[in-house]
Amino acid sequence: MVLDGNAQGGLIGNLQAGVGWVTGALVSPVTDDNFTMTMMMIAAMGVLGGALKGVTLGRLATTVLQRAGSVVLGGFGLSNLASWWNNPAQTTSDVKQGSGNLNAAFTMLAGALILFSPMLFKPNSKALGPVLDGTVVSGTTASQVVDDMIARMGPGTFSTQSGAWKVLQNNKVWLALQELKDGSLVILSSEGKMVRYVRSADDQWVLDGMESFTAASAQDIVANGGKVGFNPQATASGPEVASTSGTLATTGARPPPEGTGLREAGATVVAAKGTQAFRHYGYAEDAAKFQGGLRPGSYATHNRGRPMHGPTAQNRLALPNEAPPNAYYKVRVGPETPVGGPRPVSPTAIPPRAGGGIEYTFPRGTSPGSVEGPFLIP
Amino acid sequence: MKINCPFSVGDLVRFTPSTRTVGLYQDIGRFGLQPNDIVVVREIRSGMYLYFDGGKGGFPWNEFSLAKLREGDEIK
Repeated sequence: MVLDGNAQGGLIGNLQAGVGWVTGALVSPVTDDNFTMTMMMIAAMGVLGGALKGVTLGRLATTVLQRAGSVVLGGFGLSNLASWWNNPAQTTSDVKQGSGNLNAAFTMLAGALILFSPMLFKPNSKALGPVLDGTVVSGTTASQVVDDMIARMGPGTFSTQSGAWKVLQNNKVWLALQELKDGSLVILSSEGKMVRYVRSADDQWVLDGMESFTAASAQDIVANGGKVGFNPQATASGPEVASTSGTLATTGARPPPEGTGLREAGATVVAAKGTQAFRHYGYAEDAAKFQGGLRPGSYATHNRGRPMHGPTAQNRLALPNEAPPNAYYKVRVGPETPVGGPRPVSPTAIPPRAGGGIEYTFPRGTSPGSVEGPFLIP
Repeated sequence: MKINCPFSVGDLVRFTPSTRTVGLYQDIGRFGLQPNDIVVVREIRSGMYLYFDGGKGGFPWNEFSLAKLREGDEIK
Protein backbone atom coordinates (compact mmCIF):
# COMPACT_ATOMS: atom_id res chain seq x y z
CA MET A 1 0.00 0.00 0.00
CA VAL A 2 1.32 3.40 -0.90
CA LEU A 3 0.31 6.37 1.18
CA ASP A 4 -0.05 9.80 -0.27
CA GLY A 5 1.10 12.91 1.54
CA ASN A 6 -2.12 13.43 3.44
CA ALA A 7 -2.34 9.86 4.60
CA GLN A 8 1.26 10.04 5.74
CA GLY A 9 0.59 13.22 7.67
CA GLY A 10 -2.48 11.78 9.26
CA LEU A 11 -0.74 8.54 10.12
CA ILE A 12 2.22 10.27 11.70
CA GLY A 13 -0.03 12.65 13.60
CA ASN A 14 -2.24 9.87 14.85
CA LEU A 15 0.76 7.78 15.77
CA GLN A 16 2.19 10.68 17.71
CA ALA A 17 -1.14 11.25 19.39
CA GLY A 18 -1.56 7.59 20.21
CA VAL A 19 1.88 7.31 21.75
CA GLY A 20 1.19 10.42 23.79
CA TRP A 21 -2.12 9.10 25.05
CA VAL A 22 -0.78 5.64 25.84
CA THR A 23 2.25 6.88 27.69
CA GLY A 24 0.19 9.49 29.48
CA ALA A 25 -2.28 6.86 30.61
CA LEU A 26 0.45 4.49 31.67
CA VAL A 27 2.31 6.94 33.82
CA SER A 28 -0.61 8.88 35.22
CA PRO A 29 -1.29 6.52 38.12
CA VAL A 30 2.27 6.63 39.33
CA THR A 31 3.68 10.01 38.37
CA ASP A 32 2.94 13.54 39.30
CA ASP A 33 0.28 15.68 37.66
CA ASN A 34 2.72 17.88 35.79
CA PHE A 35 4.16 14.97 33.87
CA THR A 36 0.74 13.66 33.00
CA MET A 37 -0.35 17.08 31.84
CA THR A 38 2.75 17.36 29.66
CA MET A 39 2.03 14.07 28.01
CA MET A 40 -1.52 15.12 27.34
CA MET A 41 -0.27 18.28 25.74
CA ILE A 42 2.05 16.26 23.55
CA ALA A 43 -0.84 14.08 22.55
CA ALA A 44 -2.93 17.12 21.73
CA MET A 45 -0.06 18.49 19.70
CA GLY A 46 0.03 15.27 17.76
CA VAL A 47 -3.68 15.39 17.06
CA LEU A 48 -3.43 19.02 16.03
CA GLY A 49 -0.45 18.36 13.82
CA GLY A 50 -2.14 15.45 12.12
CA ALA A 51 -5.31 17.44 11.59
CA LEU A 52 -3.58 20.53 10.30
CA LYS A 53 -1.53 18.45 7.92
CA GLY A 54 -4.66 17.56 6.12
CA VAL A 55 -6.62 20.76 6.47
CA THR A 56 -5.30 24.25 6.54
CA LEU A 57 -1.90 25.49 7.51
CA GLY A 58 0.08 23.51 5.03
CA ARG A 59 3.39 21.85 5.07
CA LEU A 60 5.55 24.28 7.02
CA ALA A 61 3.28 24.71 10.03
CA THR A 62 2.53 21.05 10.39
CA THR A 63 6.16 20.14 10.01
CA VAL A 64 7.12 22.54 12.76
CA LEU A 65 4.42 21.10 15.00
CA GLN A 66 5.46 17.56 14.31
CA ARG A 67 9.12 18.25 14.80
CA ALA A 68 8.42 20.15 17.99
CA GLY A 69 6.33 17.29 19.24
CA SER A 70 9.02 14.79 18.41
CA VAL A 71 11.66 16.82 20.19
CA VAL A 72 9.55 17.02 23.33
CA LEU A 73 8.72 13.35 23.16
CA GLY A 74 12.30 12.36 22.57
CA GLY A 75 13.47 14.67 25.32
CA PHE A 76 11.12 13.09 27.84
CA GLY A 77 12.22 9.66 26.84
CA LEU A 78 15.87 10.48 27.24
CA SER A 79 15.23 12.24 30.50
CA ASN A 80 13.34 9.31 31.93
CA LEU A 81 15.88 6.83 30.76
CA ALA A 82 18.77 8.88 32.11
CA SER A 83 17.03 9.36 35.40
CA TRP A 84 16.40 5.66 35.80
CA TRP A 85 19.91 4.79 34.64
CA ASN A 86 21.59 7.19 37.08
CA ASN A 87 19.48 6.42 40.06
CA PRO A 88 17.18 3.43 39.77
CA ALA A 89 16.67 3.54 43.49
CA GLN A 90 14.77 6.81 43.27
CA THR A 91 11.66 4.94 42.30
CA THR A 92 9.73 3.53 45.16
CA SER A 93 7.89 0.80 43.36
CA ASP A 94 8.55 -1.66 40.57
CA VAL A 95 5.40 -0.46 38.83
CA LYS A 96 6.63 3.07 38.64
CA GLN A 97 10.04 1.98 37.39
CA GLY A 98 8.49 -0.24 34.79
CA SER A 99 6.21 2.51 33.61
CA GLY A 100 9.12 4.88 33.35
CA ASN A 101 11.05 2.46 31.21
CA LEU A 102 8.04 1.80 29.02
CA ASN A 103 7.45 5.50 28.72
CA ALA A 104 11.06 6.00 27.67
CA ALA A 105 10.83 3.28 25.05
CA PHE A 106 7.55 4.61 23.62
CA THR A 107 8.60 8.18 23.49
CA MET A 108 11.97 7.47 21.96
CA LEU A 109 10.37 5.24 19.37
CA ALA A 110 7.82 7.91 18.56
CA GLY A 111 10.49 10.56 18.36
CA ALA A 112 12.58 8.43 16.05
CA LEU A 113 9.61 7.60 13.84
CA ILE A 114 8.64 11.21 13.49
CA LEU A 115 12.15 12.59 13.11
CA PHE A 116 12.99 10.07 10.45
CA SER A 117 9.56 10.01 8.87
CA PRO A 118 10.81 11.44 5.58
CA MET A 119 12.98 8.37 5.24
CA LEU A 120 10.36 5.95 6.45
CA PHE A 121 7.58 7.46 4.39
CA LYS A 122 8.95 8.64 1.12
CA PRO A 123 6.94 11.31 -0.64
CA ASN A 124 4.48 9.58 -2.83
CA SER A 125 5.02 10.52 -6.44
CA LYS A 126 2.32 8.00 -7.30
CA ALA A 127 -0.10 10.72 -6.37
CA LEU A 128 0.83 12.29 -9.68
CA GLY A 129 0.09 9.12 -11.56
CA PRO A 130 -3.28 10.16 -12.91
CA VAL A 131 -1.77 13.37 -14.21
CA LEU A 132 1.37 11.94 -15.70
CA ASP A 133 -0.13 8.76 -17.07
CA GLY A 134 -2.34 10.58 -19.50
CA THR A 135 -5.57 11.08 -17.66
CA VAL A 136 -7.44 14.05 -18.99
CA VAL A 137 -6.84 17.04 -16.80
CA SER A 138 -9.87 19.09 -15.87
CA GLY A 139 -10.32 22.74 -16.61
CA THR A 140 -10.69 24.96 -19.61
CA THR A 141 -8.13 27.53 -18.55
CA ALA A 142 -4.60 27.25 -17.26
CA SER A 143 -5.64 28.44 -13.83
CA GLN A 144 -8.33 25.77 -13.70
CA VAL A 145 -5.74 23.18 -14.60
CA VAL A 146 -3.59 24.44 -11.75
CA ASP A 147 -6.55 24.13 -9.41
CA ASP A 148 -7.08 20.61 -10.65
CA MET A 149 -3.43 19.83 -10.05
CA ILE A 150 -3.69 21.18 -6.52
CA ALA A 151 -6.73 19.00 -5.93
CA ARG A 152 -4.84 15.99 -7.17
CA MET A 153 -1.80 16.75 -5.05
CA GLY A 154 -3.82 17.27 -1.90
CA PRO A 155 -4.66 20.10 0.44
CA GLY A 156 -1.12 20.31 1.75
CA THR A 157 -0.03 21.74 -1.59
CA PHE A 158 1.33 25.24 -1.85
CA SER A 159 2.29 27.14 -4.93
CA THR A 160 4.93 29.64 -5.91
CA GLN A 161 5.93 31.43 -9.07
CA SER A 162 9.34 31.08 -10.65
CA GLY A 163 9.69 33.00 -13.86
CA ALA A 164 7.25 31.53 -16.31
CA TRP A 165 6.67 28.53 -14.10
CA LYS A 166 3.86 28.02 -11.69
CA VAL A 167 5.28 25.62 -9.15
CA LEU A 168 3.08 23.42 -6.99
CA GLN A 169 4.67 21.53 -4.16
CA ASN A 170 3.45 19.01 -1.67
CA ASN A 171 6.19 17.72 0.60
CA LYS A 172 8.93 16.69 -1.84
CA VAL A 173 6.60 16.14 -4.75
CA TRP A 174 6.32 19.08 -7.08
CA LEU A 175 4.93 20.09 -10.42
CA ALA A 176 5.91 23.08 -12.51
CA LEU A 177 3.51 24.30 -15.16
CA GLN A 178 4.06 26.67 -18.00
CA GLU A 179 1.60 27.71 -20.68
CA LEU A 180 3.22 27.88 -24.08
CA LYS A 181 2.46 30.37 -26.79
CA ASP A 182 0.25 27.97 -28.68
CA GLY A 183 -1.91 27.50 -25.62
CA SER A 184 -0.57 24.10 -24.70
CA LEU A 185 0.68 23.34 -21.22
CA VAL A 186 4.06 21.89 -20.34
CA ILE A 187 4.40 20.26 -16.96
CA LEU A 188 7.64 19.23 -15.32
CA SER A 189 7.51 16.90 -12.36
CA SER A 190 9.84 15.90 -9.58
CA GLU A 191 9.77 12.33 -10.81
CA GLY A 192 11.63 13.31 -13.95
CA LYS A 193 8.83 13.68 -16.45
CA MET A 194 8.00 16.44 -18.85
CA VAL A 195 4.56 16.22 -20.35
CA ARG A 196 2.61 18.45 -22.63
CA TYR A 197 -1.13 18.87 -22.70
CA VAL A 198 -3.18 20.35 -25.49
CA ARG A 199 -6.81 21.36 -25.52
CA SER A 200 -9.14 18.74 -26.89
CA ALA A 201 -12.33 19.36 -28.80
CA ASP A 202 -14.41 19.03 -25.65
CA ASP A 203 -12.44 21.75 -23.89
CA GLN A 204 -10.26 19.54 -21.80
CA TRP A 205 -6.54 19.10 -21.59
CA VAL A 206 -5.31 15.91 -23.13
CA LEU A 207 -1.86 14.43 -22.87
CA ASP A 208 -0.01 15.17 -26.08
CA GLY A 209 3.50 14.02 -25.34
CA MET A 210 5.85 12.89 -22.62
CA GLU A 211 9.59 12.92 -22.23
CA SER A 212 11.88 11.82 -19.45
CA PHE A 213 14.82 13.74 -18.10
CA THR A 214 16.77 14.08 -14.91
CA ALA A 215 15.03 15.71 -12.00
CA ALA A 216 18.12 17.84 -11.40
CA SER A 217 17.95 19.46 -14.82
CA ALA A 218 14.28 20.22 -14.28
CA GLN A 219 15.03 21.83 -10.93
CA ASP A 220 17.63 24.02 -12.56
CA ILE A 221 15.19 25.14 -15.20
CA VAL A 222 12.45 25.90 -12.75
CA ALA A 223 14.80 27.59 -10.30
CA ASN A 224 16.09 29.85 -13.04
CA GLY A 225 12.62 30.58 -14.31
CA GLY A 226 13.63 29.29 -17.70
CA LYS A 227 11.42 28.35 -20.58
CA VAL A 228 11.38 25.00 -22.16
CA GLY A 229 10.20 23.46 -25.37
CA PHE A 230 10.08 20.08 -26.92
CA ASN A 231 12.07 21.55 -29.73
CA PRO A 232 14.21 24.37 -28.37
CA GLN A 233 15.60 25.14 -31.81
CA ALA A 234 12.34 25.56 -33.62
CA THR A 235 9.44 26.81 -31.63
CA ALA A 236 8.48 26.82 -28.01
CA SER A 237 6.12 23.99 -28.77
CA GLY A 238 7.47 22.50 -31.92
CA PRO A 239 8.29 18.91 -32.67
CA GLU A 240 11.24 17.30 -31.08
CA VAL A 241 14.57 17.72 -32.77
CA ALA A 242 15.92 14.37 -33.78
CA SER A 243 19.48 15.34 -33.14
CA THR A 244 19.01 16.39 -29.53
CA SER A 245 19.99 14.09 -26.73
CA GLY A 246 16.75 14.44 -24.89
CA THR A 247 17.95 16.98 -22.38
CA LEU A 248 16.02 20.14 -21.89
CA ALA A 249 17.14 23.50 -23.01
CA THR A 250 16.78 26.45 -20.70
CA THR A 251 16.12 28.93 -23.44
CA GLY A 252 12.96 28.81 -25.42
CA ALA A 253 13.06 29.00 -29.15
CA ARG A 254 11.60 32.01 -30.86
CA PRO A 255 9.03 32.03 -33.60
CA PRO A 256 10.22 33.44 -36.88
CA PRO A 257 10.05 37.20 -37.06
CA GLU A 258 7.34 38.93 -39.01
CA GLY A 259 8.19 39.73 -42.58
CA THR A 260 10.60 36.89 -43.09
CA GLY A 261 8.32 35.20 -45.56
CA LEU A 262 7.95 32.27 -43.25
CA ARG A 263 4.31 32.80 -42.49
CA GLU A 264 1.67 31.15 -44.55
CA ALA A 265 -2.09 30.72 -44.40
CA GLY A 266 -2.28 32.34 -41.04
CA ALA A 267 -0.01 29.79 -39.44
CA THR A 268 3.54 30.24 -38.42
CA VAL A 269 5.93 28.47 -40.73
CA VAL A 270 9.19 27.77 -39.05
CA ALA A 271 12.54 26.98 -40.50
CA ALA A 272 14.19 24.61 -38.10
CA LYS A 273 17.92 24.56 -37.61
CA GLY A 274 17.97 20.87 -36.89
CA THR A 275 16.32 17.85 -38.36
CA GLN A 276 12.69 17.58 -37.42
CA ALA A 277 10.75 14.36 -37.23
CA PHE A 278 7.05 13.82 -37.80
CA ARG A 279 4.53 11.07 -38.40
CA HIS A 280 2.17 10.88 -41.31
CA TYR A 281 -0.74 8.51 -40.82
CA GLY A 282 -1.85 6.71 -43.94
CA TYR A 283 -2.07 3.32 -45.51
CA ALA A 284 0.58 0.64 -45.78
CA GLU A 285 -0.50 -0.18 -49.33
CA ASP A 286 0.59 3.28 -50.46
CA ALA A 287 4.25 2.88 -49.49
CA ALA A 288 5.48 3.29 -53.04
CA LYS A 289 3.76 6.66 -53.31
CA PHE A 290 5.93 8.11 -50.55
CA GLN A 291 9.25 7.56 -52.26
CA GLY A 292 9.24 11.08 -53.62
CA GLY A 293 8.44 12.53 -50.21
CA LEU A 294 5.21 14.09 -49.03
CA ARG A 295 3.30 16.05 -51.62
CA PRO A 296 3.02 19.84 -51.33
CA GLY A 297 0.22 20.72 -48.97
CA SER A 298 0.56 17.50 -47.01
CA TYR A 299 -0.12 17.13 -43.32
CA ALA A 300 1.64 15.27 -40.55
CA THR A 301 1.69 15.20 -36.79
CA HIS A 302 4.48 15.11 -34.23
CA ASN A 303 6.39 11.92 -33.54
CA ARG A 304 6.38 11.98 -29.76
CA GLY A 305 5.09 9.18 -27.62
CA ARG A 306 3.66 5.94 -28.83
CA PRO A 307 2.02 5.91 -32.24
CA MET A 308 -1.72 6.14 -32.21
CA HIS A 309 -4.00 3.33 -33.25
CA GLY A 310 -5.77 3.82 -36.54
CA PRO A 311 -9.18 4.85 -35.21
CA THR A 312 -7.54 7.12 -32.66
CA ALA A 313 -5.48 8.84 -35.33
CA GLN A 314 -8.57 9.17 -37.47
CA ASN A 315 -10.42 10.81 -34.60
CA ARG A 316 -7.70 13.09 -33.20
CA LEU A 317 -6.38 14.18 -36.58
CA ALA A 318 -9.90 14.53 -37.99
CA LEU A 319 -9.27 12.32 -41.01
CA PRO A 320 -12.54 12.43 -42.95
CA ASN A 321 -12.57 9.12 -44.82
CA GLU A 322 -14.40 6.28 -43.15
CA ALA A 323 -11.39 3.99 -43.48
CA PRO A 324 -8.99 4.59 -40.59
CA PRO A 325 -5.26 4.56 -41.35
CA ASN A 326 -3.50 1.26 -40.92
CA ALA A 327 0.06 2.55 -40.83
CA TYR A 328 2.20 5.56 -40.19
CA TYR A 329 5.27 6.88 -41.92
CA LYS A 330 8.20 8.67 -40.33
CA VAL A 331 9.03 11.95 -41.99
CA ARG A 332 12.33 13.72 -41.42
CA VAL A 333 13.00 17.12 -42.84
CA GLY A 334 15.93 19.46 -42.66
CA PRO A 335 16.04 23.21 -42.28
CA GLU A 336 15.45 23.71 -45.98
CA THR A 337 11.89 22.40 -45.67
CA PRO A 338 9.23 24.89 -44.61
CA VAL A 339 6.94 23.52 -41.97
CA GLY A 340 3.65 25.06 -40.90
CA GLY A 341 2.35 24.70 -37.41
CA PRO A 342 2.00 23.29 -34.92
CA ARG A 343 -1.73 23.76 -34.76
CA PRO A 344 -4.34 21.92 -32.76
CA VAL A 345 -6.64 19.90 -34.96
CA SER A 346 -10.15 21.32 -34.94
CA PRO A 347 -13.08 19.01 -34.37
CA THR A 348 -15.49 18.28 -37.16
CA ALA A 349 -19.19 17.57 -37.01
CA ILE A 350 -19.33 15.81 -40.37
CA PRO A 351 -17.91 13.31 -39.95
CA PRO A 352 -17.85 13.39 -36.14
CA ARG A 353 -14.20 13.73 -35.15
CA ALA A 354 -12.98 15.00 -31.81
CA GLY A 355 -9.78 16.52 -33.15
CA GLY A 356 -7.38 17.71 -30.48
CA GLY A 357 -4.29 16.30 -32.11
CA ILE A 358 -1.43 18.40 -33.41
CA GLU A 359 -0.93 19.02 -37.08
CA TYR A 360 1.87 20.40 -39.20
CA THR A 361 1.73 21.25 -42.85
CA PHE A 362 4.35 21.06 -45.55
CA PRO A 363 3.40 23.71 -48.08
CA ARG A 364 6.18 22.65 -50.41
CA GLY A 365 6.14 18.98 -49.52
CA THR A 366 9.21 17.10 -48.41
CA SER A 367 12.22 15.91 -50.31
CA PRO A 368 12.59 12.43 -51.84
CA GLY A 369 13.79 9.92 -49.28
CA SER A 370 12.43 11.90 -46.36
CA VAL A 371 9.71 9.35 -45.65
CA GLU A 372 10.37 6.02 -43.99
CA GLY A 373 7.87 3.26 -43.52
CA PRO A 374 5.21 2.01 -43.45
CA PHE A 375 4.93 1.04 -39.79
CA LEU A 376 1.76 -0.91 -39.20
CA ILE A 377 -0.64 0.13 -36.47
CA PRO A 378 -3.66 -1.70 -35.09
CA MET B 1 -26.08 19.51 -34.36
CA LYS B 2 -26.41 16.68 -36.80
CA ILE B 3 -27.13 17.65 -40.37
CA ASN B 4 -28.68 14.94 -42.46
CA CYS B 5 -27.09 13.97 -45.71
CA PRO B 6 -28.74 16.01 -48.47
CA PHE B 7 -28.01 13.40 -51.11
CA SER B 8 -29.84 10.23 -51.96
CA VAL B 9 -28.78 7.04 -53.61
CA GLY B 10 -28.89 7.67 -57.33
CA ASP B 11 -27.91 11.32 -57.13
CA LEU B 12 -25.05 12.48 -59.29
CA VAL B 13 -22.44 14.27 -57.15
CA ARG B 14 -19.15 15.98 -57.77
CA PHE B 15 -16.20 15.22 -55.51
CA THR B 16 -15.10 18.61 -54.17
CA PRO B 17 -12.81 17.87 -51.23
CA SER B 18 -11.38 20.65 -49.10
CA THR B 19 -7.72 21.55 -49.41
CA ARG B 20 -7.12 20.02 -46.01
CA THR B 21 -8.77 16.75 -47.00
CA VAL B 22 -6.59 16.53 -50.09
CA GLY B 23 -3.51 17.25 -47.98
CA LEU B 24 -4.31 14.62 -45.41
CA TYR B 25 -3.90 11.80 -47.90
CA GLN B 26 -0.78 11.15 -49.89
CA ASP B 27 -2.89 9.89 -52.78
CA ILE B 28 -6.52 10.73 -52.49
CA GLY B 29 -7.08 8.75 -55.66
CA ARG B 30 -6.60 5.60 -53.64
CA PHE B 31 -10.26 5.89 -52.72
CA GLY B 32 -11.20 5.68 -56.37
CA LEU B 33 -11.99 9.36 -56.77
CA GLN B 34 -10.18 12.42 -57.98
CA PRO B 35 -11.30 15.95 -57.24
CA ASN B 36 -14.07 17.07 -59.61
CA ASP B 37 -15.00 13.52 -60.52
CA ILE B 38 -18.74 13.14 -61.02
CA VAL B 39 -20.17 9.90 -59.73
CA VAL B 40 -23.48 8.31 -58.91
CA VAL B 41 -24.18 7.68 -55.25
CA ARG B 42 -24.70 3.97 -54.74
CA GLU B 43 -24.71 3.71 -50.96
CA ILE B 44 -24.81 6.03 -47.95
CA ARG B 45 -23.31 4.53 -44.81
CA SER B 46 -23.93 5.81 -41.31
CA GLY B 47 -26.02 8.54 -42.86
CA MET B 48 -22.98 10.42 -44.11
CA TYR B 49 -20.33 8.39 -45.96
CA LEU B 50 -20.92 8.18 -49.69
CA TYR B 51 -19.94 5.15 -51.71
CA PHE B 52 -19.95 4.63 -55.41
CA ASP B 53 -19.52 1.83 -57.93
CA GLY B 54 -16.89 -0.68 -56.97
CA GLY B 55 -16.88 0.32 -53.31
CA LYS B 56 -15.15 3.58 -54.10
CA GLY B 57 -15.53 6.59 -51.86
CA GLY B 58 -15.95 6.63 -48.10
CA PHE B 59 -15.85 10.40 -47.75
CA PRO B 60 -18.61 12.25 -45.95
CA TRP B 61 -21.25 14.03 -47.96
CA ASN B 62 -19.86 17.48 -47.21
CA GLU B 63 -16.91 16.73 -49.48
CA PHE B 64 -19.32 16.58 -52.43
CA SER B 65 -21.60 18.91 -54.26
CA LEU B 66 -24.71 18.03 -56.18
CA ALA B 67 -24.27 17.59 -59.91
CA LYS B 68 -27.66 16.17 -60.81
CA LEU B 69 -30.60 14.76 -58.91
CA ARG B 70 -31.62 11.23 -59.58
CA GLU B 71 -34.48 10.78 -62.02
CA GLY B 72 -37.84 11.86 -60.62
CA ASP B 73 -36.46 13.95 -57.72
CA GLU B 74 -36.74 17.67 -57.38
CA ILE B 75 -34.77 20.16 -55.41
CA LYS B 76 -36.80 21.04 -52.33
